[in-house]
Amino acid sequence: MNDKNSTFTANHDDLEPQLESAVWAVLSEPLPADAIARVKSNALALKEEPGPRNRPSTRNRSWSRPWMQVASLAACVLLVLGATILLPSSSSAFAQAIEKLRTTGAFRYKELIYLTTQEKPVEVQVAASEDGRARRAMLGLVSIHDSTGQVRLSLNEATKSATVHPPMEGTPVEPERQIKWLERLKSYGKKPDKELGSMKIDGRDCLGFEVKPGASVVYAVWVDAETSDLVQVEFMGMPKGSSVTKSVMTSFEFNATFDPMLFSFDVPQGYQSSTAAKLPELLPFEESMVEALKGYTELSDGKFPKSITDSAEWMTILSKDGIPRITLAARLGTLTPYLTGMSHDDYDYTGAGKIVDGRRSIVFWYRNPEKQLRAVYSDFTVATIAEVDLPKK
Amino acid sequence: MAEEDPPDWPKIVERHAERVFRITYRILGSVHDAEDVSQLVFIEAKRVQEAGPIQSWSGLFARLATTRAIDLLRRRRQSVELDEAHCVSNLEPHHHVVAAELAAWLRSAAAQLPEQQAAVFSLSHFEQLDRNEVAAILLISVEAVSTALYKARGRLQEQLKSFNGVR
Repeated sequence: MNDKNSTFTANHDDLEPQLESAVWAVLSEPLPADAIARVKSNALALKEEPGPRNRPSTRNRSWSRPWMQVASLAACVLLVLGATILLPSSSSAFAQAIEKLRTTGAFRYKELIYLTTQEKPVEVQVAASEDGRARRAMLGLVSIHDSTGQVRLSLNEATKSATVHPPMEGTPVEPERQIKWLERLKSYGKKPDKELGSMKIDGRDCLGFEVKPGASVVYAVWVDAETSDLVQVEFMGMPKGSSVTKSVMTSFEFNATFDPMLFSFDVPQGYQSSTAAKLPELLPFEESMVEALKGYTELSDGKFPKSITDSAEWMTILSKDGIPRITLAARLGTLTPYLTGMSHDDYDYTGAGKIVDGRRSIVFWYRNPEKQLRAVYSDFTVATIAEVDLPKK
Repeated sequence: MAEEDPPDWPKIVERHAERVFRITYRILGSVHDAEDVSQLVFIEAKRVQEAGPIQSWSGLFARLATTRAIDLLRRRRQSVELDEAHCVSNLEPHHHVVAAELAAWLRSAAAQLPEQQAAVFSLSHFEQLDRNEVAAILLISVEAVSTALYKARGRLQEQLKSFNGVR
């Protein structure tokens, strides 16, 4: 019981007796001390834990080769995408399919990333080992991630070049991370938010389910009607303005057998290696937004970007004049995971077409978890605003 | 109320973890679920902290713990509604009402309340807070608390009658 029993009667004296008994029944249940200890321990771990939006998105390196600059800057930005796409792609199945996925060993699948800029999707081959490591291969560039999702080794198969990314200090090793993540999805609900009907995918009769674990995060999960095998998972709900429209995970192969070397962080023989240096300290969301916009405008003669989520536009600036802007990339990298989890009604970027010219107008606003409206202005100040202050659409 | 200044996460956790768990556990009745929701509450609180200064950690934690636990309770309620109805209708007549069953009924009934009523009821009766405290936590007026509490009690007592009727 808690320490307020003495006030119980005062609080409940007008309850119907059986309802009062029900309240008493709840209050009489003992609180398990071991559970409280676990809650504390997990909460304390958050101090060091790089969550999806705190996870490093880039690392310094020797910038001797142009591909490494581009690949590393892309890693800064795309790791963010990885945080939102890679994890769901490996685990956003449903019901029995989730159960099967949870109990599987190593597995592989194909991820198709659809962009606004091209008709054909970008294809990524993903392999996940039993201990939570992942290997993503795209256009001859390979990244090997540890079980927390951090890139640990980048390879360019064409140039036989490798970049080693040391583990971040204080990063917890969570080999069971994926299982925990799946458990959470499973406990999200035994039923989907919506049934999507049936569809034939690769000749298989499939049943579709929609799952909405977040305000703007939507998964369409397609399961073989006969075997309950996971056939396809579509991840939607990208941030507004993102050049990525959706990501489709397909061609799943569960309990696959892999050569362990595929997930090794050691530089393969024949590769020329370099080591990434330390990341800049990551900042909270608002500060990251301000720093990202400030950094962009400094490199673009005062012009604000058209979008804060179109990585192509930012990549040009990030490597302008052949100089990699690691800190700026890290600031940008902090934004996407945060925005991905937000409802599209709860934020907007309004800086397109604006320049830093001494006038003050809102370039970005969002509703924080406290339900306050916060605005970033074109002079890079930040303030709490009222609904009436929001820019007109 | 006194708050941590400057923010010291270990101290904050030490001070609020038990209460966060207690609130979620009282509402959910499952250690596993309460642990999960508590963890989410701390993650969310940390995000809030990153976005700006926190005026009341106690209020923030109580609000997040209550609303997130009720969210999950309501989602659960939706997913097990049919099964539960089936179970209730199959209870033996004159079955003795034990405390655990009453507690389970109350949680199930609270899940059917409108969100604000459920939150007000939980904080008032499970956390035994007075109306001013509940109003401060949920960022609503004391009058709104009184109204929500009145309606919640009325609904629950009505549901209790139905529950007894079924039994």
